[in-house]
Amino acid sequence: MTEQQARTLLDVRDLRVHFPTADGLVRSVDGLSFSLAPGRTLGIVGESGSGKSVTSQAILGLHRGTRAQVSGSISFDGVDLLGLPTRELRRLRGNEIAMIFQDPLSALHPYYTVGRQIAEAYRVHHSVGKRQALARAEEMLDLVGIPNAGRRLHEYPHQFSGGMRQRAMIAMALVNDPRLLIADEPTTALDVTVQAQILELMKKLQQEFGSAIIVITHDLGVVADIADDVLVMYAGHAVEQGAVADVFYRPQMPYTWGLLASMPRVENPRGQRLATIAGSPPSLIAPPAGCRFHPRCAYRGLVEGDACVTSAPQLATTEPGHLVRCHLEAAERARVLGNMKDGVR
Amino acid sequence: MTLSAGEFAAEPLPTTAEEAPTSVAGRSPWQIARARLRANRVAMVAFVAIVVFAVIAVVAPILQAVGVIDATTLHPDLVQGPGAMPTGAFGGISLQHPLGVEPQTGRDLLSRILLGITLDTAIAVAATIVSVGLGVVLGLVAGFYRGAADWSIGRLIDLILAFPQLLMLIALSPVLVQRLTDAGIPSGNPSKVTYIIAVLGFFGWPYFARIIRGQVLSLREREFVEAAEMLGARRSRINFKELLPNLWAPILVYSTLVLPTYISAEAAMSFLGVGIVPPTPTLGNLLQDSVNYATADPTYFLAPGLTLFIVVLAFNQFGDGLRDALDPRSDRAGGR
Amino acid sequence: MFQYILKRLLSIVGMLVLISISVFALFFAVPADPARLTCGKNCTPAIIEANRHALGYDKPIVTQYLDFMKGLVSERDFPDDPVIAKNSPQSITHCPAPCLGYSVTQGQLVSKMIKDAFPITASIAVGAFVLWIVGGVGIGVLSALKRGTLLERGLVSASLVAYSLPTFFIGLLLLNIVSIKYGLAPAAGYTPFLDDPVAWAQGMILPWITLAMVFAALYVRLTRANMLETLSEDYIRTARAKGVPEWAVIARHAMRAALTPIVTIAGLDLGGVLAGAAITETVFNLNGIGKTGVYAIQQLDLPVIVAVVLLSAFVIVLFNFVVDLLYAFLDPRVTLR
Repeated sequence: MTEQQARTLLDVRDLRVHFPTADGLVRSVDGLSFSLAPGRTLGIVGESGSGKSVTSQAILGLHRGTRAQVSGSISFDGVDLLGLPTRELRRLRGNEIAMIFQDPLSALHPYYTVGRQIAEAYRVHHSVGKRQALARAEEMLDLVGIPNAGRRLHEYPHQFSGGMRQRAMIAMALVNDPRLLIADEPTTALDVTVQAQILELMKKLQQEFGSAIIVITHDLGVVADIADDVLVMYAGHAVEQGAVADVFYRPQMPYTWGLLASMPRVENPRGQRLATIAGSPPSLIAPPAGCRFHPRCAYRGLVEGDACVTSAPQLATTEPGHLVRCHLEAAERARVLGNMKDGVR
Repeated sequence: MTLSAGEFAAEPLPTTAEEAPTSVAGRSPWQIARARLRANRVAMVAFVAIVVFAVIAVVAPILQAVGVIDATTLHPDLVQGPGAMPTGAFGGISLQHPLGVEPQTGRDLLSRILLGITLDTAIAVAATIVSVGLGVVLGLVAGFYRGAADWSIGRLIDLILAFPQLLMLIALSPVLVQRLTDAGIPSGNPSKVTYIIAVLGFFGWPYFARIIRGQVLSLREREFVEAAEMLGARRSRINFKELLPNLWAPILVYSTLVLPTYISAEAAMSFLGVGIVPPTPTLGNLLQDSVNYATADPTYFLAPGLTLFIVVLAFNQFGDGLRDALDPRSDRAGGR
Repeated sequence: MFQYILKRLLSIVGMLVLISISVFALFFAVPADPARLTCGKNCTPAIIEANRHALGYDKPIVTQYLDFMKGLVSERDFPDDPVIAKNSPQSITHCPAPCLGYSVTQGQLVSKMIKDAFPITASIAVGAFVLWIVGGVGIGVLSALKRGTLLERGLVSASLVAYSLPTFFIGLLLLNIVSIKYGLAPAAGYTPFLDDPVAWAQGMILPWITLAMVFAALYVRLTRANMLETLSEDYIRTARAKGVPEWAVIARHAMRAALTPIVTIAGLDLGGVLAGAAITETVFNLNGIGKTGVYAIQQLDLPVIVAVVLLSAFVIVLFNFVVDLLYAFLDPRVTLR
């Protein structure tokens, strides 16, 4: 157990993030637990509104000073982040834990040059002069593959292309060699070729810096490409989590099946329609009773009685390191999975 | 922007009503706005005050006609001394004259204030209608036909806004009032009232036109205009039938905010000597006259001034609440 | 950039020409006879006619306009009459370029009147500007940061109250009650700054407060709205995620973006009050541009009206231009074309 702890960089236990609103309490994240070892990559997948981004912001304490209610524990290298005074948390932000945001155009300040923004991230945590920090920024821009870094340093975000902006964002995040990098939908705003380049870059930099990465995405392709472990979120909590290979080859729960089936594949027959998950994400103010996924679940009939509607399933281990939240019997799951594979292949 | 707010606030509060709600699932924007407005206590108090003032505006001339209030009868017996100051404390307050009487003439102050509200509101409403009318038509034309029409209207707006507006409002008075009289409007106050409505309305339309133009430019990108066009609806029909319902929110909010600026504008014009002249009472000329007695008879000075202030405040508060109710982003959570 | 400035300057000139033409067309169509004002009670039609001729009011409007425009670049004489010049040269007023005309009622060159009035208006405008920017923006930022608190509500309500008070009412209240009745503030009056800075400031306090009040209220609201908008931007979250201290997030990131649009509005408003604060000047009886204009209008002193309106328009158009340049300088996304 001690050995386990030593290898854990980030440990999130029973995280809850609730927002009081005029219409009621929005339970964006409702009891989430996961852990991450140094140098590993975790993919968090889910629809919009499933609580992925809220989770990542809770780790950095970005909800502080708002009406959000955060509870549970987030321990980073043995330090409890939720209990940490803001002053000390600030020393970790951007230094030990850095973040990349979805839309780099709105995430970069329009009035400051790219170089200045990267330099600022460096100067906040190092007592160096402006010139030194700018030199460091240039080095980082060069590292993330921006040509003519010395010149582009003095340009503004709107003068960069989308891919270049995201590279600059990454440069800014990595300028302090963080031990944990959180990438919130890092490639969503980019086109496919640039997307591949950015993921390649992140992998390369991970090898170089040895950072742990959390990738938040709705795109399973990204997870397959970059992650070691995956956590599938639905309506504020985990419905399935485990190693990428396990979850992708032996998915154990209808929502994950839906996600996997809705992924375009080269080997799919031409003209075959992509599967979609019927219905829309549930209300986070009054989530469905029982299993939160049940209103949209096509396999509810396979469960005896009305367990799906009345009792909430718990996360349970199906194989070492592979957790799933579902009332379906293991045998039923295996049967459905077998049929699905026959159908697809 | 040239008509500086500090000078007389013909430039209404900045409004974000341009981002009026489109649709939120379930409830109509109307219903949402109404619910939000109801929940805003300050705005509701302001609304009640506006209703009260509206009732006064309508009823005061009738009360004057039937003799319940009397704004014209002179009471030389109630004023005395070298300055002909009102007899009694606080400007001669008594049961017959709840706010006292005017110095010199001894006319009943409350009656004069009530009748002043009537004329002020009438002028402000009429001027607002002129501004809205001109602004909506020209804004629609600019937004819909773009090109040369848009360019010309844009330059015209630039030109109008380059004039020192307050100075123009008073400077044009001798010229235009005479013209109006020549054109057959009875000389004296009727011509002046027409003049004030016309110039306030004229210098106000550019702001409406800009808002409407912006709205039209963004609305015409939306599908329903395209759909109407494909179904063969005539351009002009689309302008008025399809677009106007989508423009009511900004027009309403902006009108509520512009109206009080016209009320204070009338007062400012009286103060600068080109307003309506007594014995016809307006809040502006009452206040203008009372300046001479500001220290000797504070009641006479404060009563019209505070009335003016309360009317303007009520409209501003309500307009503010209305804008918040119509702007879906206004309940955005605070900073992090 | 150079091309843009040239284009704008040309359009400013065009705009001013248009304004001057409309002003001439409007005011010289006035029923009152400016020549009538030239002599007092014992006037004979012959004298009026002679004066009309001497001052050029008998010429067609177009000629008068062209004479006026010519005066802007070359000197003129009033009256411009070779006979008078020969017989009694002492009664001729020489008007060096730029000549804005001659006010018969005041017996003064218009340019001299403007020269005397402008420092007063500038004193009022600049002092009030400082007051309303510091007060308005400061309170606006504070109320945005204190969102949801009682303090914020109080500040926002107070700003709406101040915004609803008509300027001349505030001015009269300060003048009559605060200054005259209770003597709590020094009386308003103009002392040139270079003569006695303390007396200058004392005489300006009430006008400054009067003029600044409504603007400050407006700026509280503008600043607050912009700050709230900016604080919800993604780049503010980025700054916090970088570990930037909260004060720097506010000062360097939020205020930089929230206040840039305020700068342009402030520039336009400053131009507006420099063009004459007619009400404030009238309330406190200060002979600035605004009051000069109002007085001229009451006297139907046409040359002065025309000059004041043109000067005001010029200041407004000029400030529009400066503000556009400033905005392009402050916001890197704006390119001047």
